[in-house]
Amino acid sequence: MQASAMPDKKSEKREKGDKKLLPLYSEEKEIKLQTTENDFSGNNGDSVKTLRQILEKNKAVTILLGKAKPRKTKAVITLLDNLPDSDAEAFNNTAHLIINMEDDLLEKIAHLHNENIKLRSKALIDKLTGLYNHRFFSAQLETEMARTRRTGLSCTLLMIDLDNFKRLNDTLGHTEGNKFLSSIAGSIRENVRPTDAACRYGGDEFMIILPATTINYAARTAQRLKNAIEKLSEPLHLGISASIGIAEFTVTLSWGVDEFINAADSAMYESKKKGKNRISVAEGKGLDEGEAGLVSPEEKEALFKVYDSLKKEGKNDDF
Amino acid sequence: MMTSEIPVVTSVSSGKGGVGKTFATINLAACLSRMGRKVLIVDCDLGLANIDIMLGVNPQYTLKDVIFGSLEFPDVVISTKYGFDFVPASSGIKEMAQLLYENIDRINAAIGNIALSYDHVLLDTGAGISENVLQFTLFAKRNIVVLNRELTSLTDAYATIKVIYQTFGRHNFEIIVNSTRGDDEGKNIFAHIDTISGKFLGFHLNYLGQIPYDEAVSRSILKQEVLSFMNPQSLAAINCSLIAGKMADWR
Repeated sequence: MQASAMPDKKSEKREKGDKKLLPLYSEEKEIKLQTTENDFSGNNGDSVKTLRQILEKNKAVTILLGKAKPRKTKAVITLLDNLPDSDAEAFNNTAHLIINMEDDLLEKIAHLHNENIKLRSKALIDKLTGLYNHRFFSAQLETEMARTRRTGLSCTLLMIDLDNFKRLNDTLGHTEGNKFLSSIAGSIRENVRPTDAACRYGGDEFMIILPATTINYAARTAQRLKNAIEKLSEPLHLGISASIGIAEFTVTLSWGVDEFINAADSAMYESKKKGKNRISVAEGKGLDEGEAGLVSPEEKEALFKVYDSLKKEGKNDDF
Repeated sequence: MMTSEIPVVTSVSSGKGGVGKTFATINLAACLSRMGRKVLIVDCDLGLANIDIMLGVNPQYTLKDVIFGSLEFPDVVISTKYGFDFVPASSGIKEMAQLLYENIDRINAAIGNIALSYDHVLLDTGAGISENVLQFTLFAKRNIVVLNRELTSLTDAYATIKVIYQTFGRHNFEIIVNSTRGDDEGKNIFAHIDTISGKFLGFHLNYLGQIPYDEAVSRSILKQEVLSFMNPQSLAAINCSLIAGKMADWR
């Protein structure tokens, strides 16, 4: 076993106390089975070979074997996918598996695979709220924008920033603050469709990607969320509410991810500026510009009259 | 083949997508070709290029290679059996709009250059009213706006006119009303929009014509055919021909 990859003393202590090890993070991206069969007592050689074969095929796991006590060899498994370094943090928050050689190795390996899959999704999930994390958000937004370009269907981004959330942390402490964030997250989950991606963007900031959705629908979702958050925060009497910004990405816009986020962010800021606890729509340069202020209310009214008169004239047509 | 001394460069916009802008462009080009005019369509829809799809061709080089790459317009021009030529675009190139802006003088010169070989150049701009989409109208002497009776189309067409006017200072607009029901609907809708333009923008629009609702239109699109070529006796094709007749006199 390589000294560099050994857990430090503190973690060894922890190991004795409970079955969890302090997480190891190694830069190793390749599988390393840092042991020989000789490290195992008894006739476990074949099992180890099988384990090695499976792990080599998987290319997603680093495994460190150590001998804690005679006849009780432990395999400390670091679940490392070939993911970018940004994921290091996510993995660092994860307890590792420990294999005792007395146990059936293959069963453990099966378990390991499951854990691996779970971890992979864990790397995309915000630990506190259970919503998707920032990293997933960026990747998903890119995907949805590509989908819009391909299908021509608009995609909408909802940015929620809690108003006066700091008061909660300051008065009731961070534990209560976290609990509240968690309940907000739950209510966000309840109010979006399964195809929408609700993400925790920052401390008290949330982003929701609504695929194949226009401003009108997104505004209804935003309204529901605003009400839900208001209801949740009411008993606290701290004046916590939600400032929401909505932006729509249409196929005609030449936005990248940053422009899309900026548009939602500016709209959210507009809500803050106008006195918080409200919803604002980004003044995009897309099809909705007509609705977003380019066409004045007087012009709009005139245009609507045209439409109205056409409708009256063409009673028998399929308006 | 008659070639006037100065080519007429015309943009075709619509504001809202799906109102028949590309259908109108292709069919007007086919009609003008039949009248002996040499016509080039440039698909400027950077968001969702689809003239190639409507014509059933699969181009190797596109407008992108002219703006990004080292190709010249003549390298990417495709001849069609309908008589007109066209320059295809590529869908979904987000950087392109910005690049277009940076190379605007070069593209202007290139369009001016290739236009010399034609009587008419039709610039099919993308749907939408962002300045990026409408930048191509800068190169056009005349601006056709296609609209229909839907409220969103009316609003977006009006917004398009307003943006082109405010951004590029153009006020030479030709209106085509698509999918009309009844002989007077085109003129009727135009009169309303014209009144609004006169009142709020301070200038009047020109009525170019209407294309009546005709089932032959959707059939032709489905078959990737050009209606004015395949079925010139259909109601929609006859009206395209009338419009093209007016355009043929443009100088």
